[in-house]
Amino acid sequence: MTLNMLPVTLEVNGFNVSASVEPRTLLVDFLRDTAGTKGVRIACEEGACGACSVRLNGDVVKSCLVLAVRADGAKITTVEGLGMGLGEGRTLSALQEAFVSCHALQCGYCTAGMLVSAQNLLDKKGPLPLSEPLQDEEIRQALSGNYCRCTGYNNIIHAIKVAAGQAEPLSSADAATLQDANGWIGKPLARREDRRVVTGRGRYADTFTNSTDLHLVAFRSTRAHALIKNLDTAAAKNMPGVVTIVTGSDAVQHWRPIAPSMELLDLKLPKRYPMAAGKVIFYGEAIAFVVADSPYRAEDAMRAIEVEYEDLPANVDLDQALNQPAGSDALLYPQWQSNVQVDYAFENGRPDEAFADADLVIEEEIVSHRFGAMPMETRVVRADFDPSDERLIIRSSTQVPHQMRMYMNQVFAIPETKIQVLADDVGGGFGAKLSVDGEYMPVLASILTGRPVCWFESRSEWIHSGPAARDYITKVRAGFNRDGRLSAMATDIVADMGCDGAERAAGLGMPLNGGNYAPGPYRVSDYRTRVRCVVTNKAPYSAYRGYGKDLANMMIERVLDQAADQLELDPVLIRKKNLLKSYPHQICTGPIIENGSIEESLDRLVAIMDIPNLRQRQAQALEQGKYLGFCLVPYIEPAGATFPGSAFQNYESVTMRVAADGSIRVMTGIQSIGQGIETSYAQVAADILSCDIADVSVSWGDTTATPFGSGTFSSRGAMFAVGAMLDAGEKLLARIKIGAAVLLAGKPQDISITHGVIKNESNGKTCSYGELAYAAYVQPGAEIILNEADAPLLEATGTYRHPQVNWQADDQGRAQFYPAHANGAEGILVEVDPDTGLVEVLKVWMVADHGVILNPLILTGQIKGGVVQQLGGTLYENLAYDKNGIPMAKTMKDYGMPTVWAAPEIEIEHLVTKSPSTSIGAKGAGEDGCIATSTALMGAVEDALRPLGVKVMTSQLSPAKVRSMIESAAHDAT
Amino acid sequence: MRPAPFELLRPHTKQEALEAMGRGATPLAGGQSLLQSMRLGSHAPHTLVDLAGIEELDGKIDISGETLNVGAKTTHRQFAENPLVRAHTPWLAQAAAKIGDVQVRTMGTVLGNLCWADPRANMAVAMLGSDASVAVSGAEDPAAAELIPLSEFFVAYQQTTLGKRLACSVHVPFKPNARGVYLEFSRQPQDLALCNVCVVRDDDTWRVATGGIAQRAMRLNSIEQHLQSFAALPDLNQYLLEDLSLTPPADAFGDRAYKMQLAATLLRRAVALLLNVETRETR
Repeated sequence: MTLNMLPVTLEVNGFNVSASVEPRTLLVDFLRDTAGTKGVRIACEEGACGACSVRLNGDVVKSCLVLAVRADGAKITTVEGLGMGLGEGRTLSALQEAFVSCHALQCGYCTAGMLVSAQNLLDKKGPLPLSEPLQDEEIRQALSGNYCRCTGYNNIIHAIKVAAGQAEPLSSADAATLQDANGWIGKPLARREDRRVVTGRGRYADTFTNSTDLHLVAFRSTRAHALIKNLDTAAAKNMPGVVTIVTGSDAVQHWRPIAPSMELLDLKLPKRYPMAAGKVIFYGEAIAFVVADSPYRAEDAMRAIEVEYEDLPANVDLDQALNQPAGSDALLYPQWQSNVQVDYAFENGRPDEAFADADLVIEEEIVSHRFGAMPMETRVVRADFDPSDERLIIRSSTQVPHQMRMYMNQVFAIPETKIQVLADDVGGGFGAKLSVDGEYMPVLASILTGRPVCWFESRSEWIHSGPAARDYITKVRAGFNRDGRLSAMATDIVADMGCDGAERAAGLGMPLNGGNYAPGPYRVSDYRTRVRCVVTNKAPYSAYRGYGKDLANMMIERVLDQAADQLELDPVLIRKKNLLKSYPHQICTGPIIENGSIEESLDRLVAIMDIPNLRQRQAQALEQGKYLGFCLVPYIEPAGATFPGSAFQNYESVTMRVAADGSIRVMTGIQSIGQGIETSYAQVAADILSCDIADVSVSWGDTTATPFGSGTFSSRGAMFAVGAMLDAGEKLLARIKIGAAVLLAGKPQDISITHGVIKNESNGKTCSYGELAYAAYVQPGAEIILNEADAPLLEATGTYRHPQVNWQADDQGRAQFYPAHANGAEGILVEVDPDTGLVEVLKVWMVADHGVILNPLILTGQIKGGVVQQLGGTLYENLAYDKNGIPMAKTMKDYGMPTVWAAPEIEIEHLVTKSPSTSIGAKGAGEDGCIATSTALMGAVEDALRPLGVKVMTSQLSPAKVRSMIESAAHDAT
Repeated sequence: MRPAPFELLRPHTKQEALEAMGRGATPLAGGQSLLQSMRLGSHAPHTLVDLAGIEELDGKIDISGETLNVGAKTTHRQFAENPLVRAHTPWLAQAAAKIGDVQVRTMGTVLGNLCWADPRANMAVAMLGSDASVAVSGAEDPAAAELIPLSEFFVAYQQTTLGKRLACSVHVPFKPNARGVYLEFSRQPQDLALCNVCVVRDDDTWRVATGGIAQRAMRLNSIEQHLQSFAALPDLNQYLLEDLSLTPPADAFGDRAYKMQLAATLLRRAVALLLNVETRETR
């Protein structure tokens, strides 16, 4: 078909942009690629996410569902046109300011669209401040077409109210207003990341595409388990714009199998290549890739590839997969002789005898369904291989740049010294961007073509072939004596790894954590666990926020609720009877809870929820036919995972450098993925060096510029990066004091530093960091200024090794892989509509203790975001497969991303038990919302439906599922 | 995915558009469903006819006698906010306001939503319950308009009796004393409904339309008759399950029985609202 190119002229943010485009060119692509407004983001392909929202002649539209030619002549406003543009003195708009001061963004990938929708609402309501206050309902209406995965929406709603002039900001973007004598740690400093993000200048991987880059599109399997009988790319290769097509079989000669992210215990590795050759093992597995001069033409060619399959039996059901015998053609990896990736068992004490002695034994099967991280930004790579010196530069959306460099070396045998991985802003990770598999394709394409190649994964690719999580079936037994003492426990966990949980994705540790942490904060020593990780014909299984601590929590807490019911004990009381009584407390499986406030958290939760009042409300509601219920769940939040046989190491390094102008750079291998390290690490560094916080900048996401680091996972930065900063700071301060002593004519011990003023206390002379640095670097120079120092430079690398990690197993095989344990308690109030099964969350309470808080604005943001994420996972999200192994969700809507309507009121109270591990005393934070939320929801729904006799032993609380529980309970009763 | 290549025609007259449709071209209104479907690979039209430039089509909403007339270019937002709609058929305004989100309502059109014929589409169910008709023009005489009642319009999933004709406007009769209720059930507000109902009552005439329990938006005549005769309603759930013409899809969001349970619940609540019986509100 020959297609006419059509001229399009738009006024974009006040300036004309003209080009001739194909009729099918979407407005979003025109804006990003032709107008250069790359702040317009793409997070789905079905008009669901709203990240591409722009205003078209004053009205908000999704630019991915508008043809560019139909917008011809229109005035378009993108995020870049809201304030800060080229007019109005380059200031932020009131709305942008409010987003910053209310921490209304984390990864920021949705923010461009969110701001456009919010500005549309404000403009339609009249000039600011609005004469009539906005109602929550109106705000939710206005934002219902914009997904956010990080914030849990509450801060966004608040920010809009602030912009409207009806609420107070949560903080100030102006650091000076927060400055006092107590330092920066603990201050709710608004984030530095935000200014570029709210103006559409976020530096996500997709920002760096050039017009001459090539684009890669994967051709993926539409079968779950099949032999590839024939793959015909001939017609596709001849299509316009196609540079090359590479099949999985072609590629085998160019790469090695996927580098494993875990190689621990006696787990089995599939040794698969990044693209299938010969046999496909899940729907969505890449079979070939097309490289073309535009994503449109790459997709055209992809559609022209033809493949013939010979189906093999698909392993969808976990039990069936578990029991496939050796020799069966249903085995994913025949060489394993089973579908079991790992079978782990541990026993402590004498569980059988303890069960025999128990007055009551509770036995439950608990099912946790499959869902996952679903960050707003999919996987994005721009690979640039220079054949002249074999240098490979990779821009990626990874959360572990150094690990990625290592894996690239292992797969392509390019020396690590020639590989640079860059990851600036990343649009959310939540553990899912620890995995590396699809990322190898654009790298190979660049190696083969010698040109930069971009891979911008589509949302359906993420849903079908991206990392999934949860998905356990567990049998839990717990023995109690008559007064509620937990005396024995056993867990038997079978987890669905999809096609793999260790090689291409690091999910296998999740069920293991479930087994190891199931006793939780309770005193039980007679315990047995067995964990079997089973492969099925589904997409890979990867780390996801919570990382099995959700499972551990669910197993013990659900069982405690059953025991409380049967023993007619108060659910809080039965927990208090069993909670650990002193710290440090060693869980019988090995982990040591160093300190905390577990019982206090529960007590505080009981107090702030006002239980008698809730019970009264519940009774009154029931009289009107309404079913209210609530549940309280304590939790522990192990953080800072380290695993032998993996790149998840027990150390992190940070380099701190005072530049010649006195500014201070902190360089870390921890990756920014929306958790605010650019701000919180600056707070820490400013306190360590007693310098002006405005002089501190934080660098990350560049493997050549930062010291080696394992990267971002398991909430480790607040311990590992902070510890490394303390170490670097100590070395640096010694040199600073030596240098200052020379400059200020004194002794190092006389030197004090306050707010960036370096002072010789003995003679009162002062200098600034800039003056000292200039003296050290230039005049008179380091030979004089730093002559007495251990090294003549104002730069130091510090390393932190967490003292509470211990890989030396004791005689029972127990070790300590998690160094820190934050804790807390969560309560949820729900209303259930028994006719439809719909669960409405009315309120969430959290009492949380993460040790010393670095930045409360960021911490509460993390908690709220985690709660809504897990709430979405429990109530809506589902990565279900049909009996043939075909995924049932195609779009983010099918999948069930929680919208702004899903965000309940969340009340948070912080307790602070200082961590013994660093002088600053912060523990890890950020996962607790994902640990206890499912459990609390299950308990709350059970409590609400108690009059109907419903017991809730599944994490999936979709309306249909809840309704079926009600029907089965009614059926059982008759 | 991006859309596969297509030819785009931008006619100025209905005649040109109809001629193109005669050659197999697909009309493009607001595009919020069609472009989405093309991006998901479910549709790959070789030619699109952009209706935006056709001057004979308009986005007007007016009243003639006891009929509300809605032009082809009327968007959901214009419809939902229109004072005439809100005054005479407020349930229709509510149904339109619950479609998708602000962005989709800004671009999407009421007529487009009807012609897309998704069995759960808000306007399909609400307009069917309101006894609306679509005025269509054919290539033989583009100036003429034939009225097709919606009860004869929807055939199956995404299929109508429209054929290669163009839907030019929709006409909704209303009685001054008419009252209507549109209810939908979705997992989260503004998701595509799993099930929806529209019940309209004027004098003693009842009309009941449902979506999500068949391959098309359906009128439930037998339930209408029960209501008209003031006979007690049967056990709706069981009643619907026994109606073999109803074929709710069993999908990731629920099986056949669950969809029937939703329909029965929504119907019961809608009827109760119209009878001023206290009931639980459903979003």
